[in-house]
Amino acid sequence: MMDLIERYIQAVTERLPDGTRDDVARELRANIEDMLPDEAGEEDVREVLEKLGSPSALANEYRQSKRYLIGPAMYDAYIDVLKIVLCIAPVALAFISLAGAVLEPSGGSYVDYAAAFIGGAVQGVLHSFLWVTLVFAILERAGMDEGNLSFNKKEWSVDDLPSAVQSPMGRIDRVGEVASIIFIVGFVLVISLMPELFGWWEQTDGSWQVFPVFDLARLEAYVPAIVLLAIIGFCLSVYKIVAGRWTVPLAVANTLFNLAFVILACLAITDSGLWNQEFISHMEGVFEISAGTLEAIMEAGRTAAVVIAILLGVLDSIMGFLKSKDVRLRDLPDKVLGLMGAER
Amino acid sequence: MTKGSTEELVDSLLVELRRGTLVLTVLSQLEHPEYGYSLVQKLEEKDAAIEPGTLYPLLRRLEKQNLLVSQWDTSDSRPRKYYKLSKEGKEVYERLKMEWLNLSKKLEVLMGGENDGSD
Repeated sequence: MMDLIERYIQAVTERLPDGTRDDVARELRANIEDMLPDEAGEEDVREVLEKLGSPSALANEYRQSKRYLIGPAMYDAYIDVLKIVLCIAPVALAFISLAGAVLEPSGGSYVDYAAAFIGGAVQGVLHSFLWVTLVFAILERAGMDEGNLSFNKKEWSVDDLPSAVQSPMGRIDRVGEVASIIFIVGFVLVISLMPELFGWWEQTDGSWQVFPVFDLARLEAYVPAIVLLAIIGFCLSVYKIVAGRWTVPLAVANTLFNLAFVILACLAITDSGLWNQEFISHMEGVFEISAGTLEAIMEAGRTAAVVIAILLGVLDSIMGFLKSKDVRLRDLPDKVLGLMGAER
Repeated sequence: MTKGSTEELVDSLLVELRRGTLVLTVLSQLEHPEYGYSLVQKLEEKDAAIEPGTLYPLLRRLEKQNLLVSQWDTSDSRPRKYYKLSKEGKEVYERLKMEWLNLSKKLEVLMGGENDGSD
């Protein structure tokens, strides 16, 4: 009979933190004995213990620790982030895994490639759930709640309402942002891990031979800058998706990012050492053009690429500001005239 | 909605309603020291029973929140842990009591329209 009580107390206290165990055990024992009638038999003990309920439920009452992984305050943010990550990670991992299979020196069949692709995607789904859940569970335990989340630091005020006319202009194109995240991740992985993938692929004697576009040694000097820029671009895209609408600070950040991107792109394009000479001469062989012609074409191409990069950067930056103010490009002249009129 | 699920809904709403009153119930009975089981009996006598499995942990929790103070009494053959209101606990109890009286007055007014004068 005492054995039952001790077993019950043991089952409760083993679920409690060290510090409180002895005291809870002592108190629980006293309470149970109080509840028993004089000269109690085993039936009485059973009845009392069953009244107290299952040891794990009782231990939970004592512990009062969080009995959920992610609470209601964090739940919405968790689902949002999980959706974004689920859009990106499986695609990225599928392509990485595919690239790994294609690069396998022993070669492989298309079945192997498909298996690698699907396997990578499945891994991506599992990793997404694992890491996002883990991060949010830690945030939950660290005492973070909705008020502390960086996305909504300030107390809400009516001014935070979206402008009355919800024109679709200012809305962020989420699909586009997800696509750009996938592109960023894929590009960075390839350029930092397997830059030789960018090149002219030729099949000789059943095996693939690649002439890389870039001078691989030279490219390495660019990798830190590319990775840094990619991380910034990645964060910017995630922020855009979460924010949902263009704002002036976002347009400023977008402009700064474009500026950095254009500078890096122009540096790379005009750096003749970055382009693999072997690739150029091989291309001249493939297309049967005289030596030096391609060099000249590329020279013109470089100038054009620099101009295009700058134009795209400027245009994208301006669009960011216009969208943050809900102004259409074709309405711009009227707006500017209006502003000038107002000044006069 | 089927009859069974209405019952279930009422039950779960009642549990929530009662959970809110647990602390007030316990604080109201602890002006003088009580140990776990004596409080269970006292509440049963007053027709406000709380499950022992809920009450014992609740006492410890209130102690941790400094609303109760406890003391082991080992003079008897069976040692017992006695709880009573702390100074802070008394203050909190008085304020909760006022809030409760207010709340029940308001609810009486709100629900008065339905059974006005019928009982």
